[in-house]
Amino acid sequence: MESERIPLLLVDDDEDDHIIVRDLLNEIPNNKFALDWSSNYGEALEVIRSGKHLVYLLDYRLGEHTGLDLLNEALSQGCQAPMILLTGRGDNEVDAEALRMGAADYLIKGQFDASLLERSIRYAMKHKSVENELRKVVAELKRSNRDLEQFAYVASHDMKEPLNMVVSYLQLLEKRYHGTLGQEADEFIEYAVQNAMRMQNLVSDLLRYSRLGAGDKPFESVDCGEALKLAIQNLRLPITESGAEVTSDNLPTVQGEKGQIVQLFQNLLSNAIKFRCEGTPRVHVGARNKDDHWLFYCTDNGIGIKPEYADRLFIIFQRLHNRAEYPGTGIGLAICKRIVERHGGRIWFESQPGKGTTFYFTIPTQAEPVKKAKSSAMSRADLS
Amino acid sequence: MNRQGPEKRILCAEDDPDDRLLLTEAFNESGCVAALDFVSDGEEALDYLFRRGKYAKFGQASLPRLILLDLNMPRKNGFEVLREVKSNRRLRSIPVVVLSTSTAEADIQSVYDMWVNSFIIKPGRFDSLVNIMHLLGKYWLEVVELPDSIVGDKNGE
Repeated sequence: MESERIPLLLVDDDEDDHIIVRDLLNEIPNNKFALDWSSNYGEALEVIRSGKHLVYLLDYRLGEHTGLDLLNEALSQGCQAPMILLTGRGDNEVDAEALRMGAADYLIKGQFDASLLERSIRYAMKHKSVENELRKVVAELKRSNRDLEQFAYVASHDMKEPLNMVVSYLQLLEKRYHGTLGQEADEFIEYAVQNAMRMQNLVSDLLRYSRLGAGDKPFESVDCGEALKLAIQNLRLPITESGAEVTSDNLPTVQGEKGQIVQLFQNLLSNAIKFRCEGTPRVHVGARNKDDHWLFYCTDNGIGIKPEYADRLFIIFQRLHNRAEYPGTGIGLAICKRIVERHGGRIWFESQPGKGTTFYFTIPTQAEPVKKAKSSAMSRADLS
Repeated sequence: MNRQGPEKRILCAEDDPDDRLLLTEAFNESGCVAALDFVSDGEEALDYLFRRGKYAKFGQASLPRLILLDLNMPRKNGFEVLREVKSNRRLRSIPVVVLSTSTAEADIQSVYDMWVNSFIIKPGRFDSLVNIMHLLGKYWLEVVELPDSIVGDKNGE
């Protein structure tokens, strides 16, 4: 039965090695491998570029070049097929380097027989196909995640206009006909206005949240002390009203998006003040250097959070109190989480109910924006 | 013509009838004294301003002292209207205020690049809209002076 042969390319400047490998392959019972041979670096690159072979066997010594050079060049040209490096005895460092750079395997010359060669080739192919499959799934997940975000954005964007109309006309009704339709009618209209306005807040928060995912501004140096100052300025009303004392350490400069860092501090401070106990609310913001990242903390003497709520705390629209006690849409911490994750960090809290809460978040010292996959479905540019 | 001069006019380009009604109501509540002329798309706005088509009979007198412009409109959108108005020697003196639901930075930047006079985000509350109409009327119709090419001879006849 003649099945498809598996084309291999051996790159080796020594013809004797070619003969050895060819003979080893021929020893394999029912050998399905078809071996091609290329003896120099430049020619090999051409052949690899043509993409005809399913597996490459690269000798480490290739005249002026090495097998690692070839591996590197082939990978950078987008070569998808697995590459196995053939090295000499005692080249452990080369072997390790090859694997690190993306080789599928290495074989030590003179120390492999037909069955080891066959197994290495088959494993390399299997490994590569699993890897490619995984890469496809990850790309698909990223894309669908992105589409979901776009969906949230488009939906909230398009809901805003009709909702504005509902609120405005209800208010007009309230204004014109208050006291003429009877007390019950006045109440009904009032409930309708209140809830339509609540929905407006939810929609605009959802829009704000989904916009965070779309941000593609490059990072800049952000002085966190200055960002905190801006956040405090934005919160001067609630700070004055509650008599809160906000203090901070010297804060570092990080790589990030300034508006988002301000928002992060602002949401944390705003929560610390909102969920206060009797007595003067005290909030302190600090940061510690932890080698490859900064650990920030924001600690308060507020009502605290029961540990069983830990899982729900950062989920969008999750609220732990009813609206009469503490107003809000339940988006503040979801936004914080999103901002921190976009900066490559994480956020969590420690709390003693009745005593206070400390929120921690990290920002890598060398932060870069966490990239998102491009969406195919909808474009924000179409919207206004 | 009496000593106050001709009636002050505001041109409002808005394609959505619900929005037009709401703007009218808010305008009436605002205490602003002017005639509010509506057009429902960008093409009609330009016909009105250039006195073409059904607006030919209006003559060159009494151009509006303010243009309220929506951005998303059929036929010609607000950007196109703005571009034509601001590239016309006479019309470019008329203040143009964009009233839009857009909060997109790109939209805001591009209308200012085209020399819009103000960009206002349409509010979601009726009383806010009344307040905006009040401020617009107060400022653009009472505080600022426009050239004679728009308002005619200011001293009357």
